[in-house]
Amino acid sequence: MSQSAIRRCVFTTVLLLVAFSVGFVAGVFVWKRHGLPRLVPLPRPVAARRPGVPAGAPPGRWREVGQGTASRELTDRQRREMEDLAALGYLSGSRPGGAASGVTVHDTARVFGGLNFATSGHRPGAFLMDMDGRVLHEWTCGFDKAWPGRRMPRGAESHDFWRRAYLFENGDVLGIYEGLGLIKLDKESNVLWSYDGLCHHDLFVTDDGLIYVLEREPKIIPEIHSDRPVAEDFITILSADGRVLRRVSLLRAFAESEYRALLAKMPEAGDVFHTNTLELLQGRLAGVSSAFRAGNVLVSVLWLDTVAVVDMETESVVWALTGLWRQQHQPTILDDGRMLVFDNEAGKGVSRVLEIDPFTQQIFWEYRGGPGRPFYTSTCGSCQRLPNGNTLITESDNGRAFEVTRDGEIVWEFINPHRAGENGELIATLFEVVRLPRDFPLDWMPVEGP
Amino acid sequence: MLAAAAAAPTSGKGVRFDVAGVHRAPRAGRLRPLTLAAAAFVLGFAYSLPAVRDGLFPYRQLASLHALLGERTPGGSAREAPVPGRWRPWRPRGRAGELTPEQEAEIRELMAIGYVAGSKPAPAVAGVIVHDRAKSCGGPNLVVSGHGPVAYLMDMDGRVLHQWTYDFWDVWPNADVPARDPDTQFWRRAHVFENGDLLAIYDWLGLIKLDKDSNLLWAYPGTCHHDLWVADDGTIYTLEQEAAVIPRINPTRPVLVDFIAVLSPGGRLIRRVPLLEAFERSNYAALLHRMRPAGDVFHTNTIEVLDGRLALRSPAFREGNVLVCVRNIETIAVVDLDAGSVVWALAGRWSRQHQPTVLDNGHMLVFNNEAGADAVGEPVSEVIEIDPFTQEVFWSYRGGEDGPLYSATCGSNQRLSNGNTLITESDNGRAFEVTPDKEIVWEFVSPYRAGEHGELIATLLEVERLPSDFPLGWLGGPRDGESPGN
Repeated sequence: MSQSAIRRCVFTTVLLLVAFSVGFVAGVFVWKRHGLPRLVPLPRPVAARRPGVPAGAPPGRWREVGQGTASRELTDRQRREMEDLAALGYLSGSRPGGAASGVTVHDTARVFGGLNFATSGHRPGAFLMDMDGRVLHEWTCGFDKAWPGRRMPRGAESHDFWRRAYLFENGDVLGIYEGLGLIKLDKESNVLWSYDGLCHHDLFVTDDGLIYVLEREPKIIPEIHSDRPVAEDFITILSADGRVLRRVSLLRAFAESEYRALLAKMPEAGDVFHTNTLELLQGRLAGVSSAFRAGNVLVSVLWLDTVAVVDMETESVVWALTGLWRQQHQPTILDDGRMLVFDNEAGKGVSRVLEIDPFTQQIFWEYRGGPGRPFYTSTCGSCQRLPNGNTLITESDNGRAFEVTRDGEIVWEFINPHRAGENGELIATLFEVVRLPRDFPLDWMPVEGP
Repeated sequence: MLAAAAAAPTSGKGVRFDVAGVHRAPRAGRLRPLTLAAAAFVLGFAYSLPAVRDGLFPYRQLASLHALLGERTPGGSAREAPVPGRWRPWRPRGRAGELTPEQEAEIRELMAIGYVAGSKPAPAVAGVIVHDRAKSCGGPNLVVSGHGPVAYLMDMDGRVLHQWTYDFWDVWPNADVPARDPDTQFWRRAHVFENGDLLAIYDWLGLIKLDKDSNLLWAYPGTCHHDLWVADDGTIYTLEQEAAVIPRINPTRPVLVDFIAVLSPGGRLIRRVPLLEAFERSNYAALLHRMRPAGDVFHTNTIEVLDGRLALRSPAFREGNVLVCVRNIETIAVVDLDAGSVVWALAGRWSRQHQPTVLDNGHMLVFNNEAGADAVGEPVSEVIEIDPFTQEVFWSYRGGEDGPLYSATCGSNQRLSNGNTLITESDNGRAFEVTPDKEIVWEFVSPYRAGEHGELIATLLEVERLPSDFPLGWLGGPRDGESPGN
């Protein structure tokens, strides 16, 4: 090769390198500044049910729920992202189903007998089941019947189920369509009222009938991200007939509290909190710490790995704990003042249920499965301490609920017989099984009880 | 980001591709360089999309480099100082003009010595500017200042009683560190023994013990940093650091991880407990997800051996366990050295915090460096007295009428025997004693200034109040009037 050819070759190489680098840098700059485009569909494995997986992109429906003033100035991309946030939810099933189904273990001597109230991903509704797995009563109401004419955001069609439900003593139920709304049915599944706020995950009904529910609102919050929308989580208080009485922003409650340092862990945009539990405190621990006074609300914020108490008067976080759990669910204060928490990611592929002193952080009891008894759900999950000291645990992804003694022995187990997925190849997610006391009134039931 | 990215991609996939393109170019005939460049630009642009989305080469490397660079400028206020040591821009407070003539004279005297000789006297305050004898808790002050490898003992009126100093290069003449490494130029922390011996830390470089006349007794060349604790039996607890590639944290770049090191009174290493493993094998592994996977992942900055005062409330606080402050995961934790595991941790109430210490009443005092902003948006630090279990705050100090308390880095606090609190606002070269009612009853401003107009002040790494009956018999006569700068 001649001298000049080599020189030309070197020159061209350098030129190409520089041009490539400049192009690369320009690209990085553009993507960091304006977000990634959706030219290439993001991988979406069936088993990964992480919230925030983007779906299709129809424009515009978010207007019904968003802030009217801001909506007109939004770009199409922002609108799409908001739509995605409005469609956040779960799949109705994610794991292959096994052969076993129904109640597979039932040690009548050691269980805390009662009724089981369950929500499952196979249909929008809930069912009441006795300890042997016999269904005593069912409620169901499709999204179309709840909100005739309301269009479901694209990507949310697969969430036509209840994430959580609450049963009243007269047979009425409340049900949450994940991220879509809240509905009240009577015992015959007639719609009493519906609320189309973007309710999600959890609700709590007070003795006087007030309903505390989690709600989200997609919006642009420049302090968090200059142009990508975030889902702002709220604690919403509804009257017994479904009218909004009050909303408290959880994002603001953190940002304006002494616990704002916890926000450092927040995702940069999108579903930044993913609050998944709410419990109204009864004041049982108020003697130890005024943060736990009656009327304050205990919440679990998944993406912050944090369990916190919100003072509804000052609208600020007054207590928070992080460190012992990851992507946790269902913190609840027990009668003795301890706290039960479902820790989804206690290790690689291991979940655990923890009973701790929320102050000293001492662990008094934990259940994490064992050899041959794997216990793991990456999403959802629930736990309930029963009056006899046993703990009822719902391992949602695997469609399984079981009652375990303090010694870790399983004395009752239920495998969801319902299947989900296009061809019924997946076990339906068992969102929650709640054990109701044996004397829970059933006189409203059209057929006779157990 | 842009500059770094432009400089870096000189090898890897993109390059090989382009070289192939070059070989083909002459044969394809007359492809003009401009067209080629445009094509390469488009290719680079196109490749950046999957690279950013999936963290491919070289995006991930650039991103971690970027993160590392961000890590190395704490507080953003560090400046190239004209003299060795650790200096920060001085922030005047609304106190000038309240000086007595004696104080003015003292300031003039101080300004005329040492490193600041020749610089214009700053219209500033220096030395002990507040001293309420009735309300302050008397005792000698051990001062560690960033103007040199120096610690000195100062009485309540600001008179220097004694001084220790030792040049780093006299300890380790062949040390493998840059000649002007700032960490060689001052001590991060010191401990004085009752016989006048002194332990001192060159941050990240080593620990030395001097006798009262600044003779070197021993030197430990570990990567000691930030803090040390001397137990009653003379055992020394300190923090160390190691760089390592730990694939589970960062597959390509080395990170710095901290250790708790236990030394014998003679400076021999007895054992080291890795903090990373202590978190990983504990119930608190989730806190590691607060870690940025680059650089100084922990930045542990305080160590205190617990005396078991809180053991009745929680066994995690049993005697011999160690309280550490892990700044970069914003966590205060207790480590059981025997189990090598974290047994208690708290995060959320502070940011970039320093100096947690368990008080006699079982509460914990913490210097929270980033406590938010005041009414006009100025950043504020806060000293809080908190119940480590209920997280209830019993006392806090965020500054007074003359401005907020703020130190982006360092900072220290000490509860005194009369209930007052001694606070070191390190970046601003200031230490003061405040009553429970938040009245300042003693205040000291470092006399060490630098910069053309004295606009830089030596970082006051710590002022520690020793008990008023601290034995000083080894001092050997009054040393009134000795200036601290020689």
